Amino acid sequence: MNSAVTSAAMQKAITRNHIQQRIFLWLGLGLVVLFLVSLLWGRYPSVGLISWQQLNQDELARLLVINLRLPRLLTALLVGISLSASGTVFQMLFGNPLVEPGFLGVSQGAAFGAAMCIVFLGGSAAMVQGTAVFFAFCGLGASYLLARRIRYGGWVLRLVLSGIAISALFSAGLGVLKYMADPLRQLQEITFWLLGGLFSITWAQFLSILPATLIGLVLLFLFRWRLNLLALNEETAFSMGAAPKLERLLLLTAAVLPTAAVVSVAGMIGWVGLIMPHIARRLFGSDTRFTLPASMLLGGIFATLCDDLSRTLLAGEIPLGILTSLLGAAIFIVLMVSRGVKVER
Amino acid sequence: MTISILSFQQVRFGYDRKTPPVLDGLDLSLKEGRITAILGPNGAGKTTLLYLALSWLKPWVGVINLWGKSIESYSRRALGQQIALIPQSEHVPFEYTVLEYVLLGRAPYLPSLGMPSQVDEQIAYDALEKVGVANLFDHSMLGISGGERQLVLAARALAQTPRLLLLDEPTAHLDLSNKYRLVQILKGLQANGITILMTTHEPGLALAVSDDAILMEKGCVLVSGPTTEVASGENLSRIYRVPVKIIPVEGKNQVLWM
Amino acid sequence: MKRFFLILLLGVSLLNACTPQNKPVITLTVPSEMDNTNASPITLTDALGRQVTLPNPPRRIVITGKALIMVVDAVYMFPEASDRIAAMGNAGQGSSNFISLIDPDYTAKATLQQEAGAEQIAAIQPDLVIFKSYLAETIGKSIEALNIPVVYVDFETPQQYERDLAILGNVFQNEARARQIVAYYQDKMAEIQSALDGVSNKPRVLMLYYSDKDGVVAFNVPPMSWMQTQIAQLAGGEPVWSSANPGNGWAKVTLEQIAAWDADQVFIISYVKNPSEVVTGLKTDPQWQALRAVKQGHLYAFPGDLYSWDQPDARWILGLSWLATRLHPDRFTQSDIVQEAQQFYQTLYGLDAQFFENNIRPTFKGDIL
Repeated sequence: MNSAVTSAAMQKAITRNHIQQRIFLWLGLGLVVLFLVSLLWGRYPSVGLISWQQLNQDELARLLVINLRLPRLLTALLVGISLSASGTVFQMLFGNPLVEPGFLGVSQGAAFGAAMCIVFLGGSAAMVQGTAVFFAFCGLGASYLLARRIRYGGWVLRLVLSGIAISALFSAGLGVLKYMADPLRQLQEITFWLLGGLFSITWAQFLSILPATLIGLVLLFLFRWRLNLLALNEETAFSMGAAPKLERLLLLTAAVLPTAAVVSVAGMIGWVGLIMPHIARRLFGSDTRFTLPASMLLGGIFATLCDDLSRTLLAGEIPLGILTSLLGAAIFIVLMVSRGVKVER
Repeated sequence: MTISILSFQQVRFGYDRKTPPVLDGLDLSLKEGRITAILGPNGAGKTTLLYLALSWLKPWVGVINLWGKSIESYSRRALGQQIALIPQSEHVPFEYTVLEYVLLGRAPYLPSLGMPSQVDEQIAYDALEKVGVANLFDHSMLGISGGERQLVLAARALAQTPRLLLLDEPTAHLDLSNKYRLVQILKGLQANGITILMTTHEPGLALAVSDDAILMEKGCVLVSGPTTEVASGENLSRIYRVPVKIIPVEGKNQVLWM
Repeated sequence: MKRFFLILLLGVSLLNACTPQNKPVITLTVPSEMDNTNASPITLTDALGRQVTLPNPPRRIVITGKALIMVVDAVYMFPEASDRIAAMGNAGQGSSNFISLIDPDYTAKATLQQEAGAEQIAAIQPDLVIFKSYLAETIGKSIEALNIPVVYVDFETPQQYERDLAILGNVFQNEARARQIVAYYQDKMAEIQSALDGVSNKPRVLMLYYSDKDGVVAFNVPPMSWMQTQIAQLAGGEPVWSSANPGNGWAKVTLEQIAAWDADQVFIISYVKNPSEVVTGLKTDPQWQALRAVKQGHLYAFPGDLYSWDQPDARWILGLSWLATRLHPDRFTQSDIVQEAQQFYQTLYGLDAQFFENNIRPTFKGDIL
């Protein structure tokens, strides 16, 4: 054993660790600062930051910040974190860097379930989330099962194709609901499902999704290293002491739960779950011990930023999904063109 | 007396109840510290046998014992610490570094929610050294050659510090120099007390490195025993249905087929 | 001396130029309650059954959301409304805008986008926001979270008109005026009902909304719950489309279905294109010429002035009146729809005959006469 080589190699590894820790720190700091600034940024009383004095004197401003902006920003955070985390998990578990909750029928299923609950079942918050979660799982399961049966192309292609098909089915279902729903009453909400938006978030809604999202996200965070193992094929994972079927199901559940909860209050928001894991991998490599927390942080930052734009860019509200698609797709193009994604066929 | 590490008694297994079983009436016994090769044509059930040894598959009929105890009595973690598998090939979907990849082999020693520590990283690094590719530790898995990747898989298995090592067609993707390297590694491992079971369809490899050989045909063991006795031209011709001759060259047996 | 008079003349003409032209002459006497500066709180129950307490009579009202004309046209029936509205969304439909006609300060007030966010609304510092009830779950909630009082109204059906006008009466502390307006509607409806008393045959009626969005021509029927259907029924007709619309919005129907229904009278509604134009076009279409209603001369363009009279805007009562005369002309020999329209604007908006002739009558569309 050449100890000189070993220590040199170890040095390299330790330096890399330090750099990574530094990046993490900056990301975390950035998120906190962005959050605080966003609280003060808006269109009241005019476009820009609210000054501290104004907050002290104006009761309406205080109410605005505490009752409207705070729950909305917290929800935006949850949206970003949940979608990125589940994007990472899906990409790992399906061995496919081109999937996200919106590509596998999860978001569409959740949206369809929530919309159906609103149109037919009256729609209390808990029921809406429940149906959203149920149909999100249906979407995921259908995409997976269909992919196994397609007789064309490699696994990556098959999963994307079947995901597109299942997503289209659920979107069409949403369209049918749109036709049957009152154009003045519920339709407003269904348009919102397709484009996403946080304009009507209240404390009640934020608190209602908190349990489901926290449970899922905490679970995912705890399993962040194990996720690597479960990305391998089942026999290999088993030979290293894992229970692959069970653990994969657990992680999928832990990923779908926050996604469905978030979609049920914010509508379908795409591209976040696709892009953030990619950026995280660029910064930290493929080990999910780092990329999972990193993509969560990145997702939080991205969603908060997009939400800030959606409520302040114009006098009216721009649906959040439009902004995430715009920025997300732009980043995606840059990523694809700059270095390409190394994927094994 | 050499202890029987792994024994199969009258094992029957198939993937589908409607079709004939892949393995039937299988008996075998592995001795500790020996290198055993399983020879047989494609489709003879060699990989299935390995998966049964791993306890990934459960036999329909029959008993599999590990160190004298039923394999079912071991926990998954315990199994992972005792047995490791080097697969024939593996699809790597993402750009892991070599060290990160080998580190996964430390999983059996970590609790479900555990993270690898500095010690685990050292063990992983040592495993890479044993296999001779330590210089690649920070390279991307997608940037190394197929042969090097095979060696990394071996290192990962070694990171599990197993007592029994299973190899599935280990030389299938290796060129001559890597094949040679692998043989040296296996011999070195044997010297350290590790028992090795490998499947191969290359009789030459078996002759080069294994102590014992098991010849399989259609899911049953045709004959098993020391390689020199069992891997005869006659037996090989029978299972491969191709005329095979064994010719000693400079003291070592070589396989000749036309 | 001359110079002094010249300057005086200049000054007077300048002053004259500064006063807004075409200001409607309000002939309505406003009850003294309007000038009541008593700051006693107002309590009312809105369309969703919520108890709303307004600490002071509202002076900065905001009205926004889609389909604004129904709410705004009802609000402006109260003379004090104009001064108390701080901001609203676009209060017109298509290229017509009734409010801009009667409120000289309209442009200054109509500053809100249709999709205005809660912060945008809050920036106006309103002391009351009036929404249609469908907005309760979304932006309504957000405004309520800011402790800004919100009153929800509907103004979609005749019953809702009665209820919601009373609510507005509370808001403006002018319940007498509200009663007056409700009485107008009720009397008109009673008139029509009594004229139709004992009618035995109800003509089969088909009301079609013509749209040509994106160049595609489509004919739609309304749901059973909507004002259009109610007008058809109240006017003594039998709507033929009850089975065709399971949903809660406009439903497209094909020409085949239109022919299959074989209605006695067909009415074409159009919000953007002039309905008379549409009908003229249809009368030259051989497929439409084959319909019995068209052959018998019963294809009509639904009338309107600035806005079509079929929708739940204030003018629905005119639509109803007109429709009744078409369905049962024998019962309404004395009716003069133009006179009724003039009376409508006089009673509800205090607009005199002069204003009517200059501004409303030229906008008449459809088969009014």
